[in-house]
Amino acid sequence: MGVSRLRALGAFACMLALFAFAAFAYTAAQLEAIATGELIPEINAAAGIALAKSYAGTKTEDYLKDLAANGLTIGLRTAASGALSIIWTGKVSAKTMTEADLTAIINDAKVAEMVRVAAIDPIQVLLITKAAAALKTMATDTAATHESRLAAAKAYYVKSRTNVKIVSIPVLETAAVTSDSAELAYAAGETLGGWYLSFAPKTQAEYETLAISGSSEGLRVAGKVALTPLLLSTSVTDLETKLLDVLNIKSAEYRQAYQDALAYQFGL
Amino acid sequence: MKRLIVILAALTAILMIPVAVSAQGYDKQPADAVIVPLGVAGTDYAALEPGVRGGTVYVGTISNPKKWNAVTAHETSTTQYTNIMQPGLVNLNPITAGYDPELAKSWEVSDENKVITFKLRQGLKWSDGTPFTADDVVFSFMDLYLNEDVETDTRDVLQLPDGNFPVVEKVDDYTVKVVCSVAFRPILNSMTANILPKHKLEQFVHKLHPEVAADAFNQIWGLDTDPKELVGMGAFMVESYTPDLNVVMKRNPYYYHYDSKGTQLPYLDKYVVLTVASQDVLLLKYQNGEIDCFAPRPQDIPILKPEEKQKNLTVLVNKEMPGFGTTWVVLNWDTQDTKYRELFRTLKFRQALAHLFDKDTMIRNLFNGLAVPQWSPVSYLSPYYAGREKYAGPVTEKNAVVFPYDLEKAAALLDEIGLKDTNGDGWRDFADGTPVEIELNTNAGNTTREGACLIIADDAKKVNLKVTTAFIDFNVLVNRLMGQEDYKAIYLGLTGGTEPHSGANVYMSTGGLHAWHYSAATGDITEVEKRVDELTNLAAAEFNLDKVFEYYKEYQIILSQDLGFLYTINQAFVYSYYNRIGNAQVASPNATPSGNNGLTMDFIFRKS
Repeated sequence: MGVSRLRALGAFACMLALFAFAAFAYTAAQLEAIATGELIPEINAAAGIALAKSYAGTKTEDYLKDLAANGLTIGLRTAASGALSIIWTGKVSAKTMTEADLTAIINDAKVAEMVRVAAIDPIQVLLITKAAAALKTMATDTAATHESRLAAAKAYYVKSRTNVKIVSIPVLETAAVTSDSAELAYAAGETLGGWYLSFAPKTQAEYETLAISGSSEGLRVAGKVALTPLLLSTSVTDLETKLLDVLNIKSAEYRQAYQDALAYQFGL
Repeated sequence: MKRLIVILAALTAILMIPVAVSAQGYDKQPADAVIVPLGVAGTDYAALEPGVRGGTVYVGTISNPKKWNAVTAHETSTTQYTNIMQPGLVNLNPITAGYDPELAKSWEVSDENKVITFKLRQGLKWSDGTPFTADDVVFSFMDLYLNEDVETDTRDVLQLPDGNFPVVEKVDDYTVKVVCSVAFRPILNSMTANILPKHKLEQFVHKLHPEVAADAFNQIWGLDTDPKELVGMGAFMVESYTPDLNVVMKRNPYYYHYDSKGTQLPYLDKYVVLTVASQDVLLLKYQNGEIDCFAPRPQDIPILKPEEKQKNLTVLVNKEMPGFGTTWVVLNWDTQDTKYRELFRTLKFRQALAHLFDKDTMIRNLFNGLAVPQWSPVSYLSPYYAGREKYAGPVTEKNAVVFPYDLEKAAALLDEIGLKDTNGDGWRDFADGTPVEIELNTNAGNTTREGACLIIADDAKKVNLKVTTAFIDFNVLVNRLMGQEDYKAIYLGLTGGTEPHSGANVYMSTGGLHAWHYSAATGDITEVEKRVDELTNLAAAEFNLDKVFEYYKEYQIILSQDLGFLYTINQAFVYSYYNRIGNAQVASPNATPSGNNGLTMDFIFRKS
């Protein structure tokens, strides 16, 4: 599985990262090495995503908060953020962390971004008990942080999934372009991607086009969500090569589809 | 002397230890153990695999149990635990839905099908180590289910066509005879009834101990019972219960199922059911990996599908296979307000309501197309389903009783029975000018049912009929359905199976769950109810399955026309599990690892 990581960056002419691994599953140490030294951001981040579970089991919360805030690379910050998310989800389940605790993190602009990101998934389990209307209001609160609005927006669409006026393909396609907040549009796009996969499947080429050229972030997110599962069987080598090839593609969502697929392969 | 005492004390301590160790579990596999042939070619279990012992599986529910008493339970929030703890003489095969020997290892029918002799498995023990014998079987049937002091739905299902009940007699310690006054085909289904431990419970039965109150047994094994007091023979026993948090079940060391390699089941050390606020939270906890197996609704699939491979889970979808059970609206024909009582007993009103049910919208909006309209009290998968034209024949729906979504028709019927807007406020009134307002209840947190209620209320509004919705706690809802509290209308569902007679407690006029018209049991019976009673008894006494099918066909048609329950839709089978759970692929409408009959729990295992 692991291969020599010699890459030519063309116009960037930067120092290249070389990592050689034997062909077996990636260890935490190997993932750390990639998350520390890999120069291509999506590959770096993919290693971080795959590292989160290991960090959740081996690092302290204080260490992770510091790393999520101050880690030198996106991969290390992503790993720490993902680990915190896992730990806090467990705490919510054990009822040792409350909505107030998570709100104090997610809605404080002074808290580091990746620490706020870590609170998005755990707080949803608590947000989902609110009425859809209340969640929509939270998702449009300009006084709140982006992460707070995004968590509410995601919860809003989970909560509203039985409401055809809110969740059906035509309505979602509109909402992914124009919603009362960017976060609602993003969450609409995530939901739309799932709907395409489940009830109105498209070809991989169509998802790629949507992820690259969708007229809004929400539509590109829809493309990404639907595209990622189709990439999971791709080899590490091919995914890394692709991420090198698409460095200049503007759509972050498109690159994230390959990033997430690579993270999956790293974690196998 | 002192030295002797010390020596004796030490010897006593040493001698005590082996006794304590050997008190848990069989010394060796009982000769009459049930062998589950996992992975054995040519058997029902060929597609499954032997597992490994250890670990815990987590599932979820949105309701707390109401009690631990299997006999007096009316609700699935209780039976999902009691079905695991106390199996019956026979059990359903989770793969074929046929009857398998369980606590009975075999049976013979004789005397013109009026006597069934069950040979019980020998050498089995209750979870506290007490031997299981025929006394427990006789006690369960004669002193509990057939005891008038005991509040149980099972008695309705045991009633014979001639009104009598079977007599269960002990022949010897491991043989019981079930003697019926008439041939009773569904008797095998009734033998799935939970068997309870005589040695733990007879003290609470007034019939056996007159010094206790007549209803003493009905109060026993409530939620405040120390779990150590609960005794059963099933795969797991309750270890702890924390309201609104979880029920933890632990392996029963005296369980008598083994796999073909000689490994005692269940494979799991523990089975934990998390209690959560709603199906929304259930979904998120499943996504987070806190729950291992989960029964999603169609609207959950778009959320799970993108994660299927990444999170190494499986989403099973079968659009051609609706699950067992029924979903319906019921009107309370016995409601305290006499105007509503008369209204609900008016067939044209019920017909009007039926024409308001936009089933296509419910299927599309609530189930993303993964559901079918329902019209019959009998489950689609039953060979007796009247959508077939003969026993076990293909489904054609030739006989389906359909009330098409038709607002004009609904409005015309309402006009016909005199419900009109007399004061110009936009809502229909009774003839005397009193506003008509019907509160429709369902259980809070079940967003599918809530959505269906809202669709119904919205369509009722289009014909100026005021239907309001109120979503309440499941156990409160059950109290209302049981007639313990007044209500107007409820949206709910019932489990079902392949044997229509298992609905006798619902559809017979004297049934304990004859929810729309309990007063039929005291003589206030309609012609339709009389005929349903007759057909139930005829079908129960007949062994020619083609004739049985004809009885049940008429039964389904007249019940559907009479609209005691106004049926809505039936969901297609969907299920999801993390691939770290071995044998979870057995999930079907017959049984799932998170379902309420516990049939798969002994052979589910953790791969990681």
